[in-house]
Amino acid sequence: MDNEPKQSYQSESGNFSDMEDWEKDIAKVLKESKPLSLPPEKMQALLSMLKPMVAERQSPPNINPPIATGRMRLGEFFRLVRNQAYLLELAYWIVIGLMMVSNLALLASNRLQSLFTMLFLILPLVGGISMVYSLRISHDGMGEIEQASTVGLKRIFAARLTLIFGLELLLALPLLIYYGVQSGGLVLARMAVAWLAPTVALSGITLFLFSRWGEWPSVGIPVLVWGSLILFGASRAGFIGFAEMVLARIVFNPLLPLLAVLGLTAGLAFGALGMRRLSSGRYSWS
Amino acid sequence: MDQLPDETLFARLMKGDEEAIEVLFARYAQSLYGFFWRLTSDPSLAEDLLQELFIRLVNYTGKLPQHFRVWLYTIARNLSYDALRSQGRQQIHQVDEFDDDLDEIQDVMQNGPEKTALRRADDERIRKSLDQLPDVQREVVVLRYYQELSLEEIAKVTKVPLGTAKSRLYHALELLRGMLTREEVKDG
Repeated sequence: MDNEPKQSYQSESGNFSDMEDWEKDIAKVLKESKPLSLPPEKMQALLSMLKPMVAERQSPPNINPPIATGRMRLGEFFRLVRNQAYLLELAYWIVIGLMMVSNLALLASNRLQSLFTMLFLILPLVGGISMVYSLRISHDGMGEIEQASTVGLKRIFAARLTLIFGLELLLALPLLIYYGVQSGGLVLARMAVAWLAPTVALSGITLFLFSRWGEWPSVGIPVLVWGSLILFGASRAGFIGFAEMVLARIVFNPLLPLLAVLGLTAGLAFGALGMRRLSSGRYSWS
Repeated sequence: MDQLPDETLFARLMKGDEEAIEVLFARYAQSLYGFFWRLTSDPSLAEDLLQELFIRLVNYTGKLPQHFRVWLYTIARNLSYDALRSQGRQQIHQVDEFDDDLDEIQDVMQNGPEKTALRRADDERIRKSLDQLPDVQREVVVLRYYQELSLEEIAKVTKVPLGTAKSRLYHALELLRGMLTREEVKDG
């Protein structure tokens, strides 16, 4: 490392007040010497070459045709949802079907409460994963069709969101009805909140993660976090049983409304961020 | 547009504003050419490097730099060193003959030999002296006195602590003084 000189050299260009005489002289001599300059015609030629390159940087033309902006009738929207459902693969429908059958079977048997509760608790994860699944990018050429659609990415996005939440509600409904019938309206309301808030929160966070880092982190992180919470809860159930503990927490926990509000807010905020990014027109979801 | 800060202009350039490149070009092109020339001592290479630098600028897609000038000179410096490395650092020095005349004798009588020598140093001699400085010292001198960067900016461009930048400048000036006065005495 060079030795630190005693001079401060803090002066602005041209002000040599804090320098010694010889340094001022050298600095002045240096400043007065003229550098070689490029002839104006060469400068002009270079600038002329650069300008078209800059012009090319302008935002590429939007390849979408004009998007319908008027209000969409409800019937039209549900037709769009139905059309989007065709994009979901058979394997997905089989998984959803199996979950529904398990739900109903467990309810009908009125036994295996822990399994039943576990199913209830993993529903928010199913919602988040379904979201990623419905928006994932594959290479089957659907992207171009979406981009070219006059419906617009935002409406397609809304249709898929509706589809996923519809299926999620379908899965949750038997469980909610069961608790409602068993324990009354207040329990039903609290159970509904305990399902809806984590579903919205996990779906929103998953959507945001998906928009930023793609499929695997967006699935892996929520599964890891939510799964750990479930397992942690199960390990602390003790003698009263997992199902009873979860039910007691949902019904009697005074913090549930606050946590639900926080979950909903976080989910909606992250979801909005993710949606804005995904709807910017630079992405396709199929 | 002329009044806009560099960072704003560059942001506009990144969005395809042709006027922004005109202003930035007017602001920096000659100065950068001088910088390249002083570091490489090769006018043709300096021209190539200037073109390369501006092509990089107009094609840049990364994050908007916070301090455009520092960022610009950092790129310019790296380009210069890359070019010098690839050329094996072969520089051609053309030494002009220096004249002495009656005025010079009068100068010596009035100001002493060292001051006179400095006053009489012409552009070519200064360039030749600069060429003889070690790279790290020459770049500091060029950035300070020709590109008019502050020492803080120089430290950032050259990626050294502020103290090191000051130290390099100090030693460079000492060396230049020796070279310029010695040359003059020898020529005289």
